[in-house]
Amino acid sequence: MSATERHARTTAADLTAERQAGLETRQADQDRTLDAMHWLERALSSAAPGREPAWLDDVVNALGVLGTVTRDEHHNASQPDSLLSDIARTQPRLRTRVRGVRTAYQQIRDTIDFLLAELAEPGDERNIDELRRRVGWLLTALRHQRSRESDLLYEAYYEAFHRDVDDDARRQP
Amino acid sequence: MTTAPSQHYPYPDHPLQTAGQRSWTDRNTSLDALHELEAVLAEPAPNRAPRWLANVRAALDGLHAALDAQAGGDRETTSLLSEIAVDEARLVPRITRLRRQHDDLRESVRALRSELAACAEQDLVDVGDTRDRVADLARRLRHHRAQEADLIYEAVNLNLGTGD
Repeated sequence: MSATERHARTTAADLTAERQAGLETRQADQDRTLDAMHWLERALSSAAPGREPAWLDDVVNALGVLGTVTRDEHHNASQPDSLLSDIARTQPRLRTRVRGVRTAYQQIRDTIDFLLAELAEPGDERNIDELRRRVGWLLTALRHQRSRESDLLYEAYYEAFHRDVDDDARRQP
Repeated sequence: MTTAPSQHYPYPDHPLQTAGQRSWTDRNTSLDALHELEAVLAEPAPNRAPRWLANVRAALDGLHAALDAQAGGDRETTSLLSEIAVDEARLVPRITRLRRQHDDLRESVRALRSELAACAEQDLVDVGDTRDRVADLARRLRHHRAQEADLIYEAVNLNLGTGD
């Protein structure tokens, strides 16, 4: 019997408390990141000309919060008991995709740090339009990454348990 | 951390209070619709593509309705942009461009809805392509919102981005 078949035969009872906790941690991390993304989005689309310093302060603060929550999310997802670690351990055919998700997430984290460092430097007048576009692309990349991870988790979970990971994540403990 | 939109219009004493509040509300409604669309788009698609597509289409309908309502409100003579156009003739070309951009966005949403309806009928779902196209749409909508916020602040000192 292949590993896939063994997983397919796993019953709902095998959804361990550890995995349920992993789902809840991931959901909480994702909610925090989404809040931070929406905050940054609002800061970016606020009026800028005539109030550039206040606009830039708001953007930097919101970007800083996004940096913090994505760092926390990345840390949690890297733990041995995280859902991604569980998938990499139990479903070898998905290991490359797990690695890809982690690498892409790290690249986004690096971009946030780079932008924050750049904005912390005293310098010339900021090009607001360009900054809006650059941060906008960062948010687009983060949304894409979230979709990719969501697909991977669902696929792995469905294959292993024949259950809907999103429904389980929303389930009240 | 509190990031939820303010439920209260932030400029109750401004001379253009009614027009400003209408614009603020319409902007919030369309942003909520965009967030809903992005949320369903980020839901997992493998093994459940028809359900995923149905959710995306429903959310796209919501965005379309919100953008239509926003355009309808904006075309009224008492709307914020209409008031600004009367008082600040120098800004009319930018207002015209904003309205054209908004119409383009509505047209893009309409075209995507039609295409996804055809995909659903033929049971052909290209998840990656749909996500890319909505991401492009969302980027354009956000850029448009920022430009509109800039113009309104410049004209009447209302930062509608603050509470939306």
